[in-house]
Amino acid sequence: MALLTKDFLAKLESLEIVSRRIRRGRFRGERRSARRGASVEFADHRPYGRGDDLRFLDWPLYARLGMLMTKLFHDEEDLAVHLVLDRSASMDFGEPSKLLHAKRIVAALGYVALLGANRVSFWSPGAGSSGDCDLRDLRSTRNAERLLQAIESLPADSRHETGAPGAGSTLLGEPLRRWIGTRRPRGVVVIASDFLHRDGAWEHLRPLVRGGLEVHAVRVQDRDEIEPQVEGDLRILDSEDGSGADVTVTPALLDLYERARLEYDRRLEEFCRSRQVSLAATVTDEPFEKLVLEVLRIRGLVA
Amino acid sequence: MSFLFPLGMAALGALAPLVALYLLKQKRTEQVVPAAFLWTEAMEDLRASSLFQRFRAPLLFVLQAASVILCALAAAGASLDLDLGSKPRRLLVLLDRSASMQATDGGEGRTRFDAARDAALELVDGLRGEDEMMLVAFDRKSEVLQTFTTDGDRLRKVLAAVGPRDLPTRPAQAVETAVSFARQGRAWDVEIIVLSDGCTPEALPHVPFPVRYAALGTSGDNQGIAAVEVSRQGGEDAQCFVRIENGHDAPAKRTAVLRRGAEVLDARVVEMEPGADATAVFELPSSPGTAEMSVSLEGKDVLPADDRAHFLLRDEAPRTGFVVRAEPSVHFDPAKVQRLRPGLALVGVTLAEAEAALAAGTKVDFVCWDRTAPTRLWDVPAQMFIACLPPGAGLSDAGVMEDPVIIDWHRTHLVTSRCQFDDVLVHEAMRVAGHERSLPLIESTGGPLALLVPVPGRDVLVVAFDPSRSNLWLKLSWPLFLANSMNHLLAGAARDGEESHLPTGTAVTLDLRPPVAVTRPRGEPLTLAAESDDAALPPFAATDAGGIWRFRGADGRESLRAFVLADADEIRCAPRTELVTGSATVASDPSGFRRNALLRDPLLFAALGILLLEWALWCGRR
Repeated sequence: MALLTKDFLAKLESLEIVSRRIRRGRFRGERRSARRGASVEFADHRPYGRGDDLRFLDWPLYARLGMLMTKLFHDEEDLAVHLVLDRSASMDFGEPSKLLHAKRIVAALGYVALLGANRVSFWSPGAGSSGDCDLRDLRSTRNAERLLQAIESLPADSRHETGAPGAGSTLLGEPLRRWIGTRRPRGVVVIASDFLHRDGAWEHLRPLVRGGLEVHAVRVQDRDEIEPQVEGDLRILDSEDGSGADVTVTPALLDLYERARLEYDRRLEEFCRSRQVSLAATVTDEPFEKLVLEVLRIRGLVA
Repeated sequence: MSFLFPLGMAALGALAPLVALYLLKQKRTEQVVPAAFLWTEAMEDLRASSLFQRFRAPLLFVLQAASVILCALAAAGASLDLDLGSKPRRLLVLLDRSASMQATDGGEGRTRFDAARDAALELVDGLRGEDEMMLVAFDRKSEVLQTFTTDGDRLRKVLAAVGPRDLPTRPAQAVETAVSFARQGRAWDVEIIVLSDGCTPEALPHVPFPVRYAALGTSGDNQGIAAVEVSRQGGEDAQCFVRIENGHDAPAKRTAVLRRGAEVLDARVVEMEPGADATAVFELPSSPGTAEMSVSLEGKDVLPADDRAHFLLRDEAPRTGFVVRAEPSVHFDPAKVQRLRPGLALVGVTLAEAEAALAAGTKVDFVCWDRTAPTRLWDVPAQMFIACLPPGAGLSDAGVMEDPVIIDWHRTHLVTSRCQFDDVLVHEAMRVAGHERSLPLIESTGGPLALLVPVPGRDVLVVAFDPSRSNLWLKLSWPLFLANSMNHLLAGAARDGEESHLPTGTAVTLDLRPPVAVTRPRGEPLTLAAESDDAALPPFAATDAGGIWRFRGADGRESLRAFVLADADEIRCAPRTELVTGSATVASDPSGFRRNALLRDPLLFAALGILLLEWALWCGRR
């Protein structure tokens, strides 16, 4: 498997996806559910009702108090893990590209999720002929290969050529809103993107947060975005919407760019902090294994 | 603002490639980035942080265009009008074109005349609106080149056509002409501008108008031929006396070289103290016909025009003369005198006979009025007056000097050279009054006993005593004195067409059939035509160049004339820093001629500064 090596896959077997909250699943699984169920873990009592299984009556309690109380147990269900991969044109930058880096991270997390008997969905919106990639409710490691192959085969969106605004933007904005509206996802959402958007990526994360999802944002950046290696008189073109700006790169301009970038990052981080969205940032020249094994563990996505 | 060379504005054409380059440069390298909005924000911040930055993008182009425009203005000779007077000006420019203006110290390898012309052109360029300019050139005479006009192109053409001539400087007439023209322009601001080196012996008249003067030239390092005299003693080879003057304030050593055509015949080294002169004497070889001779000074000085003198050595023509006397004299026997001066046929006549013959048009070369004064001053080339005075020469008989004692005599003059007068006893002599303009040759205690008196066109010799009433005629000095006198008088009294040379500017009468083809010394051709077929040619006066002039008549007959500058005032050509007009003194102020400040240098400096600024900005952007 090109995205992930066998050694790395072996390391992933010790990890599992962690949800900060107990959520209802759809199928039985290995996670405690908010739903009362048939696990062995006591959860609570409730007054006995007609039709309750007599096996769950708490007889010692009846002996002491003379009240018929039925024991309730936690249920164990699967966890819905939604993996969202941004493969917009802006991700097709750097060596290795941001997209490849994000693919590896998403693939690793998907694999970890499948190992944990979670219900894994993968969605990556695409423009043009490639279209959306939407894999739903993958369970068990049998689907790991399918998932990884699907991720690996995804191309980046073609860069903006026509100049029409929004033509190259495939994740943040309308596609994400549409996905939330139609899928109404529950559980954990891991979204891997560069989170670069003219209007502020956080504005497009609000629907996710409002939907009660546990959102984990993995931000992938290229070193050139942080420290641009450009000089001279340039016409800067946006890869997604084709908008341009004539710039003459000077130290002063680079300072201002740095200031604008930091301000953008600050606002993104502030949004995430205030909305309890975990944000893990990585740069493509850093090993993605480190992100998966260390950073995401620290961020509480995996344990 | 005005422009000296409007065509220089064509340099604005350089803007076209600049604009093209700018437009090409506008096609920037396209750099696709993941998100351009960060750059856009940075650019907005950059523009917001500095008003200057708002204009930064086209600023470099604007600066480059500005430097091109400034260079074009400089090339077009943009100048600023400094004289903002409301009255139109009338400039009377007196342009010196005398020989000394050929001195090569006009700056930047130019002659003084070139510098004068440039100054005049500056004045032309500075004319505004109704300003008028008049050009008067002067050397030995003045000539109105252009009357008052506002037409700058016409003035420029006139200035381009005028050049210096081998003639002395006599500016008084030009100044008088200028003043008379200036009086006609009371409605204007009249100004007389003299462009000259001021090398003139003439006193200038009072000028009741503002006068500006530019002393052109810087050096007086010059030596030149001040006089050439070809003397032929009867029956002997001719001699050439060349007087060389040192106009410099340092000793000079020059070599005078005698040539026949291009053939070098002889040379003399002459050394001169500052401001002094020296004489070189050459024996001229006899040669049949007419030989074209020249004397030149080898070496360099600032004025080459006076370093060469041409003359013609001709066969001696027979001369005739009268000895006019009331009675035979022991001291002037024509037969004996004739032996002293071979080639001179003398006839003894009475006053009546002489005057009748002269009145009838008889041409004689020499007349000795021996104790018999004529009734008028006849037009005879050489005249000698013994114990009588020439009429109309300003001399008068102031009585008799009894036993005057000779105290000195001119020991270097040709007339008295090699003569001894120290033991001569004169019994009585005329006391000559009014001899201030004369050259005394023999001085006595009572006044001059022999003197050269200038009369129109020549000098006459006056001997103020009767030699027979002295012991002079018994001495050897007397025949020597007579021979010297006749040689001197006849040397300068050649018949028309037989002179060895003439001063430049002398009008000559040509006895040739018109039309006459003239070849100037430097080979330029000229044609003289008579007013009608049977009319004689008028005197030809345009002899403004030193050298041999050739005149060829329609019948093929050729006549040669040599003209020599030979003017000591031109040799002493150090520019005078002051010009005296009447009782006023005008100091030279060449810088004051620029009514228009030429902006070339400031514009070029500004363009350079802008380019440096543009370079600094460009470097700062990187």
